[in-house]
Order: sequence, then structure tokens, then C-alpha cells
Amino acid sequence: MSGLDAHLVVARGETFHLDVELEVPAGETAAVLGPNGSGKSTTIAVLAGLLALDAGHVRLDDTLLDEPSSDTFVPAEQRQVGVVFQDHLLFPHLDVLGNVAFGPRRRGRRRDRAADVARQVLHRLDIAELATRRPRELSGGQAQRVALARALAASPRLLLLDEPFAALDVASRATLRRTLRDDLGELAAPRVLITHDPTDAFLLADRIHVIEGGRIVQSGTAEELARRPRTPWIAELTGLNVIMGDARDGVVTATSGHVLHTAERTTNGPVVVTIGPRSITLHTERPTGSARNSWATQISHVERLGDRARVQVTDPQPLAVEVTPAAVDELGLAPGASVWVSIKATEIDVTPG
Amino acid sequence: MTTRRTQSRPPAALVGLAAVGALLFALPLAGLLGRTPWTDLPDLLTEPAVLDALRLSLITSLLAALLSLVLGVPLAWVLARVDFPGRSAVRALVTLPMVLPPVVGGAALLFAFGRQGLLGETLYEKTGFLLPYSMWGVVMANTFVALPFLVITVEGALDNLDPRVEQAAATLGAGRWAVFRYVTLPMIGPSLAAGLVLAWARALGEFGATITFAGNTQGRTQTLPLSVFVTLQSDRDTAVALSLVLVAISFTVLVVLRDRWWGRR
Repeated sequence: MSGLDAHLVVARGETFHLDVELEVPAGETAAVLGPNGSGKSTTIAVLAGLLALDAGHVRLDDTLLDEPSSDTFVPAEQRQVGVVFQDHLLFPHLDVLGNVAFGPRRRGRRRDRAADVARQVLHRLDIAELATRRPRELSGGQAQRVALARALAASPRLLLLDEPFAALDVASRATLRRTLRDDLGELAAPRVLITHDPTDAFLLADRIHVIEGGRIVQSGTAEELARRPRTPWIAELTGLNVIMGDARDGVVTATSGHVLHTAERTTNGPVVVTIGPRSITLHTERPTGSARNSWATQISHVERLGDRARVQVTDPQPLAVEVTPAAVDELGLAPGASVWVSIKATEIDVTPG
Repeated sequence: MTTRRTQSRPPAALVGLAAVGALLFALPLAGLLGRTPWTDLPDLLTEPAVLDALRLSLITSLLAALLSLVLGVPLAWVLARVDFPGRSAVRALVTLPMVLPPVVGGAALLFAFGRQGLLGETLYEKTGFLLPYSMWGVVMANTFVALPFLVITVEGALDNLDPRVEQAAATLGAGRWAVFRYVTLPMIGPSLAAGLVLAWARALGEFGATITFAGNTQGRTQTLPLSVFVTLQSDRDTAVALSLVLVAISFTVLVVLRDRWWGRR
């Protein structure tokens, strides 16, 4: 198989145990999504070769990188596994060009060749003008892009993105998410994105693996996860409704053809709209309140999850709605029932996509 | 005119004692400068005995600094990065010369490397080489007292270095040696330089261990501080001139290290 094939088993003390299986085909991005302490950092460490497995294996394309049962372990410096760290970890004593040239240089390129490779990558990422800056002279977003350039310049056979946006402010996070997709576009290697932020996973990953307590509790596309969350944590995370569409002056036309009114009026063009499931209200009759968005629809699915219930509505715009179990009973919410949906324009988040 | 009092006056007792403390440093320096025969200085400083001492001191202290660098950086790295049983014992041992009276250090060196010493006896029998009372004995005594300064400075710098930066280098294809050479070493560069200057200054001023282990032979083991001590009995002017040289060197060191150790507010 071309790509990553890994079964990661790490036993650390009595309390923590990682047991995760990951398969990522070449050119695809898998997200490992989980709360803090779920085993995400350990996953990065064993894939990068900074920590050895206790059992299982890591195979990249046809190369076995780690397999305790056959006493195989390829250390980090021989793996060609690139890592973009959360806090970039650029070398403070080198300028941007020196940082990006570090990988090619250490992998045996001559000094001038390594610099050429670095310049090409910086140019491709459209940050050539940063070449002579020191890391401390970069903004958080710039530093993170340089860190990506540094990892890419080393021609990784697997790219690990360790919470790449967590240390950034909201504005740079949105910009970086968008550029990251373009930046990774040409990379043939499989990528693993480690994150606790479902938006990262939804926007960047082809497949999402939700990890809790060292184990994958659910895998699937964003849509699959949102529709059938298997644990309350996933329900909470993926309950977010993600809708692709096209914005013009505060009106978003979703790919479903449905039109949403948003409070955000300055963003035009392709957008990603997110709506929290608790920001949506269900009514048995046509609502008359201040909500700018309301339409009639049908319930396709109702699922009770302890102290809340998730209701799935269908055409014209499929959405996940979260209500209390009491509301389910009082309004008689059941598959097939007709309801009205209402959403305030201010509850709709618009991110340029 | 009114004076605006923004803060209450500092306690008189503290200010008084602080002034006495400052005088403790200022007065001897003033005494030395006041006693300096400025006009005869060029002649005094070019006397053969003085030139011998100056030359020997420079050679031995620089060799000791170099030796501290070659031995001290790996020692600091092992202490900071390798977890081995007895690490804290080794760390204590390394810093011992900083608190040990140098005379005791010199005596200890004799018991180890002297003609009848632990290692010295074998060394003498096998090669005929004798460390004590030779220039190499001076270098050894100097290194003994200087090395801890370098180790402590460098180890502190290594402790403050985020090991994940070194991990990042490893993921980019750098082996352990390359990580050390191209990431660790440049990142601790300023501390390394400071440790080196400190070690060199300490070696230059070394007296007790040197005179105990290497003796006091002009041209061979009589360094500047030893020369100051000897001439103080017979030739005050020369002693003062030599002292002035040492003060000048110390001052230069302080200026070089000023950003690191003082004036950084």
C-alpha cells in the first residue's frame, strides 16, 4: 500500500495507553481529533520517530519504520517525516532561509543547492520576502508558514501537522487554514493533522479519526461524524453545522441552493458557514420572531444523548439541531414530522473558504 | 521651591551598610591606584621577571580555558541531557572546586598526579613525565579551578534550551551530532562565550592551587598572581604594576560580560 499504515501502541505507566490504527493513502489528509490528554502528542511522537512504539507498527509506503516485534526502529532523522509544530519551533539563530534550507542541507545537499531549494519553497508559499528575517521578527502566522516551508523543503514522505493553528489569533487562523490547503495541494505524501479544533478537521481532512483516552472512538468524514456522533464529546464537537456556499452582501447561497441571511456583510465569494446546533430553534408553526432565517422542513432523525437530543432535519438544507429531551416530547419531534427552523443571522459564522 | 516626594526615604541603616559595602571594594582599588608609580610603569612592566610572568600567565590561562572548553562542554551536555545514576553526585563533584580552598585543591592534585600520586606514580614510571612543578602543572591547576565555571554556565544554558527545538532538527534529518553542532551549540553560543571568559579569568587569577601543585619557579611556573605575592615582599613598585595589569584584565572581562552579568535592567 502506498501511504501510511500504522498501528500505534504505547503503554506509558498504568494510566495511559495508546492504541490507535491509522491508514492514510498518499495525498490524503487524515485528522486525529481529540481533547487534551487523549494521546495526540504521543501519536505525533511515535509517527515522527521521537518515541518508540511498545507494540504495533508504522509502515510508510513500503518501508517499515517501527515494529517492536521485529526489532525495527528507524530514528527521526532517517524517516523523512516532516513535522509542523504548534509553536513552530523555528531555529532562532538562523534566518528564515537558513531555517528552510536546514532540512535539505542535513540531508546531504550542498549549501548553495539547499538554499536554492529553500528559496523555491518560500516562493511557492508566497513568502519569499521573509527570507532574510529572523524568527523573532515574524508574526505568529508568518512563523507558522515558515515552519511549514521548512518541513516541506525536507521533502517529507509523511507530513505531520501538530495543532498548526492553535497558537494563532482568530484572524490569522482563518487565513492560514485557507492557505494551508493550497500549500499542501502539490504534496504527494500522506498528511496527518492533529488537532482539538473540529473546524481544522472539517476544513482540511479527508477523513477524521476521533481519539479519546488513547483510542479511536469514531472515524469517518465530517458529514458522517456530524450525522451519527458516537460519543457526547463528538456530538458536541461535530454538532457544528458546516455549509459550503457563496456569499454576496450578507446573503449566502449554499451548495444545496438554500439561501441564508448572515450578519457578516463584508465577505464575498466562496465561504464556509458554521452554525452551532444549539443556535437553531425548532417550531411546530411558522415563527414570527426576529430571526432572519426561517423555513419549513422535515425531521429525518432524532437521537437522545443523555441530557440533550440531536434532531436532524432534511431538505431544503440538512441541519443538525440540538434540543432538550423535554422539547422532543413536548413538540412531538419524531422522524417524518414537519417543523419550522429558525436561525438568527448573528448566529451564523462566515469564514472565507 | 518645593521638592516633590514621590517615594518614602529608604531606611538609613540599609543605605549606611550598603555604603560601607561599596567602600570595601572602592578603597583597595583607590589604594592600588594611589600607590601606582605611573612614571616608572613602562620600565617596571618590561622587566624580565614581569614579562616572564605575563607570558606564562597568558599561555597557561589560555590553555586552561581551551581545555575547559574541550572537556567542559561535553561534561555540561552529559549532565544536562543524559540521565544516568549518580548524576547529581557528579554534578556536585564538578562544582566542588568552586567552594574548595584552592590550596586544598592543589594538595589534592599532588596526591593524584605527584611523583608518588595515585596516577602520577605510574605516569612517571612509564613515561618519565612529571606534572607538578612544570608548566603543565600550572595548566592543570588552572583547569581544575576554571572548569566548573564553564560547566555551570553551559549546563544552565542547556537546561533553558527547549529540547523540542532539537527534536524539530531531528525530524529535518539531523543526527545527534548534527543537532549538537548546528542547533544546540549555536543556540547556547552567548552562554558558552560567557562561560569561557569566566573560566579564563578564573584561571588567570589562580594562586593557591598553582603554588601548591606547580610551585613558584620564575619562567616556568611563576604566574602573575604568584609574582605579585613574591614581589610584594621585595619590590613593591613591581607588585603594584603587576596588580594593575590584573585589575585591567579583570575590568576588561567585566566590560565584555556586562550585558550578561550586570547593567541589564
